[in-house]
Amino acid sequence: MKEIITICPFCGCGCGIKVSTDDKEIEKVEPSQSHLIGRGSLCIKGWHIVEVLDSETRLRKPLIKSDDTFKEVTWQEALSLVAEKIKSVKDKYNSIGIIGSSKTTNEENYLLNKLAHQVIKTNNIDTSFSLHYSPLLKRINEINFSVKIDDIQNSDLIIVIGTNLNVEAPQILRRVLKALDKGAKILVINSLKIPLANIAEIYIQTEPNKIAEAIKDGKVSSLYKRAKKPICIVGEDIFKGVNPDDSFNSIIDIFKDNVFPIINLNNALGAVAYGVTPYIEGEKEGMNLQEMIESAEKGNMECLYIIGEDILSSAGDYNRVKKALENVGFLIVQDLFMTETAKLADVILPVVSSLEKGGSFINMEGRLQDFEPSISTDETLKSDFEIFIELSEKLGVKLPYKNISEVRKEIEKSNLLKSKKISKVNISLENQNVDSDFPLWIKIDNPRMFFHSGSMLKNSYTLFREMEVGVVVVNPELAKKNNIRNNEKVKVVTKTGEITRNVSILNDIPQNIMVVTYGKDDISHSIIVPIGLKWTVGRLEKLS
Amino acid sequence: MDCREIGETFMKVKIINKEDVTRWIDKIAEKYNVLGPVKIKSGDYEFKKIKSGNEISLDYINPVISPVKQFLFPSKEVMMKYEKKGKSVDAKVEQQVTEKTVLFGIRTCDLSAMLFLDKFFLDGFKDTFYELRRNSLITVNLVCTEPFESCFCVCADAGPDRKEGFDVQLTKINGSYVAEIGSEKGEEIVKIGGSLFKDASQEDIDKKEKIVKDTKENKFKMPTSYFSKAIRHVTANDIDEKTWDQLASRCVGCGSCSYVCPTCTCFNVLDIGTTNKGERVRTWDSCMYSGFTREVSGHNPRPVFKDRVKRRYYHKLSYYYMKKMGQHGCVGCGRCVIACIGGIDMPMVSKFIRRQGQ
Repeated sequence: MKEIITICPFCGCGCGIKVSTDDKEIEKVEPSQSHLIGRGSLCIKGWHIVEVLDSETRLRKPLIKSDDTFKEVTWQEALSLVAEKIKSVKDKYNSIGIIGSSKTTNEENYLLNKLAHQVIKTNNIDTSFSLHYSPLLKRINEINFSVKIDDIQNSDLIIVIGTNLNVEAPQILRRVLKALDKGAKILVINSLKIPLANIAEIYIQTEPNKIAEAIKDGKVSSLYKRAKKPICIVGEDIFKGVNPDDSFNSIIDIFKDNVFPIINLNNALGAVAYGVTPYIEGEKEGMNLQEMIESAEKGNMECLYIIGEDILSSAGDYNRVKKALENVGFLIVQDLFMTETAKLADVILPVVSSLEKGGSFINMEGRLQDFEPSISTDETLKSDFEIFIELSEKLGVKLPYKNISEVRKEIEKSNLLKSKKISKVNISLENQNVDSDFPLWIKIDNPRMFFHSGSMLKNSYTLFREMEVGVVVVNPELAKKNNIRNNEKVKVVTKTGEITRNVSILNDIPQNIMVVTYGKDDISHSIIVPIGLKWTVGRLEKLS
Repeated sequence: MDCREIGETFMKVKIINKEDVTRWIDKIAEKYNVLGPVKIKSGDYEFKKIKSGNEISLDYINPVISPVKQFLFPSKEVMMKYEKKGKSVDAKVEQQVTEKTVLFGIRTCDLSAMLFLDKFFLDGFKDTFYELRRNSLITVNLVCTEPFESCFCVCADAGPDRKEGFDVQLTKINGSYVAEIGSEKGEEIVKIGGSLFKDASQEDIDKKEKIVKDTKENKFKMPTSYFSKAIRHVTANDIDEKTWDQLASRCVGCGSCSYVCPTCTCFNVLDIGTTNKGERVRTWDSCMYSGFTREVSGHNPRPVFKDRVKRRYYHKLSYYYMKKMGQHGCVGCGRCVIACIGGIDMPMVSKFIRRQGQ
């Protein structure tokens, strides 16, 4: 038995997990006490990581689709086909796209950047970070990541805006509660009464589109001025909210260096830092993820290479994204599981998980953490690293790296976040507002065991057992007005689509907001939100 | 003889030089499987199989998962394997025959927790998986003279030393360890040490008692006597809803409290595999999960965190369970203080309950 400390592959906190293993099988998993982030704790996702790895549903062999069914093939066949298809694309600037992952390692991200720029010769490379966190990406050069996770517990005023930390970032909640217990003032600004609002000193409930105004409120600014070490924690209700740019810009203009953004993706910063982004200073700007989807919609995307990202489940606007992906000439998906996106692929390349490889991740505070492999790889699988190297070779360029440590030597110098070389980001998100057709705000609410697209969760029996049937939560008054009873099946309609859900009536929720929860084995929630967002406007309809 | 029957008749007190402990372990390891606290690369400690006493460090920080619980009631164990062969099904119960194992250097809180586990797994219906391992187990527990910041065993009446229930109990006095022998199994491994042990003098025994008394009275960093008032309120069911609301607002539902608690015994049994081949496994479960109580119909008697937090502390502290188990469900090891993200640990909950209505 040996013990390896690995970094949790789920959210952006980056807890250390102690894995006891005999190299083939994992005996147990527990939080590492000496690790600076977790300090002996893990959330429900981290505790059950092994269930995901051991799952029977892991992809074990490369698959090629023919006549609508997948056939197992050798790596040689699969990679040759991929290389051949990539070579056959003539207009590399407009017709090929690479979607990287916020879960691959820094070393792999660095290689993927080389694969895109030097081998395939396209700048169309991005991750879902630009989709979900564009307001942050736009101002990322201004954020110095100067607030560290452990600074939070020593703060005397913590302003928590638009995030339910109990779900979004448990380790941040832990620090906030430590500060609270030491006497710090906690100020919660949220449209919904999150658990922290019950114990915070001040809770300001706002309309979803009036968060910026709440920050400018006199009470907030006078508290802020008096505080010695104030910290402002900002989460997904801002980045994926109804007016993300306006809200986040106001927050950063006021709180500046004291802003701590919650980035709920394991290595999102690592992907940006090592060039899995179209926004690199000095390089010609490529397509971002949204533009790739739009290009596919128009039928211009001849080849799309998606690595470790189930965008069909996670992006939002399911129907539109599905059509776009179906429109792609040749779709390559590299993943652990048969995800919704993978089902549409022409070739699937199965990969190892982060526990089966070494590398490094950058967490939400900007901390780089490296780790060794915990268990050895199934021989039929390859790591993303190996695939990138082999694919480059098949495409006629031999990348000069034998192993991860050779890449690691190089990457420190090329961290785009450190050198502040992210170029201007031209994504603008429209403000959403309620009107007579769509009079209600809608929030899509993910439960604590859910991560990103949910492909991991589905394959862990404990996490999956935790999932409830998806519902739409409404206020009693709203239910009464619509003549709807508890548990009744209703229609939720938005600009992007409609779904049916059972109603759950709850007192705590404002009258003009509906919360649509994720359902067990059900991604229908992604039908009703615009791409990249968690908030939208819509209406409730009684089924006749 | 069942090791839970504590024989005062066995009680013998010996003494061994600090330097000789290593040699004693070497000798035990020649005959038995020995697991002891080893510092691993990351700085964490882990109970690992050792060949020599040099490998262990007895001033270790208690691992987040109790080594005793992990050994007797592992986080995941295969109970049965099945395979369809033609028309018949081959099903085999997986009974791991365990070689005699010495858990060397466990802390007394974990030993106290083991006695609690014994009661749960062996009283009445005997859990054979547990029983096999338990019969093969010999413990050497350490009396802590320097409690950690999160320790409160003294409030739980589960440490720092025990008067019964141990095989061998070691207390450091100056350059030696006083070794109390509490069972035949204990005697067996002390015998292996042979001349390394000498009979302890009355002076040594007095010294030991003095050190324990001093530890109890002066060394614990957390305020003591947590439980009595909390137990009274929990049993009387007169805790206001606001207290539970406040506690539940801090909960993230990670289940760490149950996993790290050395007296938590809830498990899930499930079949993993296909209809043709698979295994039946038992894994730890947590009362903080909604799936723990959700019924097939979808109805959940404990649908929200508040219900679960409340239930958890009723189980740990109410008189009903104390009567059933002979002790309350907490040994003061302090693991929940370390593992609970929301800080809803036993000392904090007791404090909340004590303060309510004031």
